[in-house]
Amino acid sequence: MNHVVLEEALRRIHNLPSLPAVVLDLLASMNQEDVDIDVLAKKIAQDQALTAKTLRLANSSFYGMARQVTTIAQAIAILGFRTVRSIATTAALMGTFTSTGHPGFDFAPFWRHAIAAAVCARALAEHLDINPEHAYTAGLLHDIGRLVLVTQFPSQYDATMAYRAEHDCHLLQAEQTVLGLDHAVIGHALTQHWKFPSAMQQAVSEHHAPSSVGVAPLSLVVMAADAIAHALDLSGDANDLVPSVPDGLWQQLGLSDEVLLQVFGQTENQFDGLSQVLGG
Amino acid sequence: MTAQQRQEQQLRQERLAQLFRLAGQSGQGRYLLALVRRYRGLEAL
Repeated sequence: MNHVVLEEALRRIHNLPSLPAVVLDLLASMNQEDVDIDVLAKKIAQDQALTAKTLRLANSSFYGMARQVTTIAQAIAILGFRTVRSIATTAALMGTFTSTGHPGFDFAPFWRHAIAAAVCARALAEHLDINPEHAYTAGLLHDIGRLVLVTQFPSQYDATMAYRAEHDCHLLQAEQTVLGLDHAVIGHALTQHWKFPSAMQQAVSEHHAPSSVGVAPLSLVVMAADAIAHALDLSGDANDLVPSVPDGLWQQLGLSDEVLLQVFGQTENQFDGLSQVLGG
Repeated sequence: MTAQQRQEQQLRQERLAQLFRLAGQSGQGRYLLALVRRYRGLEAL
């Protein structure tokens, strides 16, 4: 019996470490019009590990800076606060789950897909009236529940992947059959635990909803970004599959073929650089 | 188009068919597949 009891999953989620306070502050600031950049820069600078990761990313060739930056304040002055905030939250979130000790699950394709969905969600949001940073972060995290399941219930997740291979079905369907719940439910619980903005929690929860009717705008963007990222085959996973695309999704988004083709190009361009930098 | 280019396009086409083997059965999935084929320049195949 490989079913995962929801209450046990929630208990384990609540035992996971909270995100560092500075990351919560950075996420909260994405909703604010007046952000005290100096205060947030000082908070990042006080977290040595986060500062080191952020500066490593900021100094990578992807950002093409003429000279090396050595402080968060310099990085903000050159790249802008929003870019540095995005780099810092990405670095912090990607460092949350350890990839060691789980030989049955390949973390690299997982993060490659997450990065692809993040940059695609941001590109889509720029054509809609949606906060691009919210879209990027929600795209990055849309499958995060899968990492909770892999790390907290490894033998059950091995059985899930075996079921998928045997039945040639979507991983979501395998999770629901084998575990009795799925990564969208668990991802929602984790983003609640991490006190993410409610629209992001909702997007993680709804990204596999069967219909797009009544779904929140940010959730629509994440649904579309997830499908496009799989369709562009960016994860490097030989067993990758495009998920079921919810009914009415493209009509609800209301973007023309030309805009979507432009989004495909933006996604591939951004993905190539960022995935090298992030080591996905 | 050279023989090598034709072979590469054929491989792309086969990969797309593999990626969309479950999602391509719905109208929404078929629309996305058509767009990706257009993006990859595979419409002629």
